[in-house]
Amino acid sequence: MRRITLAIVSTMAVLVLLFSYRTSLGDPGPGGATARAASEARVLTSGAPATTTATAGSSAGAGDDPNQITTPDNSSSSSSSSTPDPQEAPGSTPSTATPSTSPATTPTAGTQTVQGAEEMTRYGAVQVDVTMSGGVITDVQAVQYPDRERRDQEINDAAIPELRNQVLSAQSANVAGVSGATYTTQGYLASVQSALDAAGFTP
Amino acid sequence: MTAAVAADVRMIMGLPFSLHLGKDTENPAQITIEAMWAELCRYDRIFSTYRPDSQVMRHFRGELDLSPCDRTVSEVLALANTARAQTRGAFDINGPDGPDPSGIVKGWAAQTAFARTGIEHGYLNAGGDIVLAGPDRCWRIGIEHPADPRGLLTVVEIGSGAIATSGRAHRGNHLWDPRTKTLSDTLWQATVIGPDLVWADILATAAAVTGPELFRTIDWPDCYHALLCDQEGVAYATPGAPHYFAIDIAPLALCFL
Repeated sequence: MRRITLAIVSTMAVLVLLFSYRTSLGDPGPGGATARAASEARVLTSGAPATTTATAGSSAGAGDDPNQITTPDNSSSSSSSSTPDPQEAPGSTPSTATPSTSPATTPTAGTQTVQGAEEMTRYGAVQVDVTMSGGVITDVQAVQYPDRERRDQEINDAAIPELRNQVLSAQSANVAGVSGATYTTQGYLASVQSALDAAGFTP
Repeated sequence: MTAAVAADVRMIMGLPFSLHLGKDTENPAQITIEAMWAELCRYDRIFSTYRPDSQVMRHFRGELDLSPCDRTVSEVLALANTARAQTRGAFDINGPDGPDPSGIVKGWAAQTAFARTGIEHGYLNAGGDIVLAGPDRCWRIGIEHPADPRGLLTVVEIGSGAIATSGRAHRGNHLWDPRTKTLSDTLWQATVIGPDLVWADILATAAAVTGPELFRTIDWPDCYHALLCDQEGVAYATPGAPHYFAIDIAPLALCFL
């Protein structure tokens, strides 16, 4: 499930549609600047005690089996496939997260809200809160986005709900990734990703 | 069966690249991830059109011959020439503002870095174009719906190979048509599945510009499978394409090319 969202995160089209005019053209400069920022996600609230120190980019979960097939209408399967795997992936990746700044929990049935890292785009910072419950993403809200100009604000007012919708609908389609005509960088998506990483999000 | 999954996202070439590892290979995941980003960043430094000092930009300005360039530069430029010939001009790196290799570099870089990293179970998503490795049909990949980006046109299952989608640029409705040297109001979204992302990407780009006409005008390679869709969701497919559709997804009303 996490991978589903990851994939969406990396291919999200709606935002491109809405932001490509100017707000989400990321800095094409030296690679890695945004990824560094992505390591700074932190868990805001948690429904469970911290039992592991999750590392960015690692997850393990039954729902990650790519062969698992569910129909798009899988409201029930999302709970069955979202049983947290108590074992962290042995190949877990220290990645860019600093454990001390991203203490994370094994996802449980509790609801938790995780704040993604602040991602810089050419026109300002983007940051999201991702809410998870029972191993399922239940909400995505932008807490920070470019709004210095009226135009930015108009675009973002339309884009944020679209972001949320796409993350949520991709989750229900149970796909690993999405192929689409996506052209620009997406600070939003990187922020969602970092939130999931920080939570050690597993389905 | 539970597979340990590592994933990481990085912005390279102005695109989000995400790497997903299905299970541990010989290297720890983190080594693989870092190796991948290092390789892609190397290609970015060579090919970036945003960096005035990149080898490609210096070459295009006539400041640098091909011979002192990294050997990948002549490789990619030769590939671009082959692509233009193979698609009868529907794919061309020469755009309205002169040569711009970024249309071919993304697919080439993703494919090359993925192969060099030796990933046996995982995939790399380069802004919607994906190169994959793994057991038969192990990855479920959604194809974006051209009219409703929240929805999926269909879902395909791929093991090792590549899938690329082009068309209906989200920046607007215009795609550069290198044949007419004008912006075209293409209504086509083209997805191509095949063994190699370089050609999947080239063919998808060409098909998005031309629509089904491409299949009548070029020598379409048998090992690539295409799905074309217009804005109303009318889909055209090559005969081999439905093989990849996930069985639980309602079949599209297909016209075969």
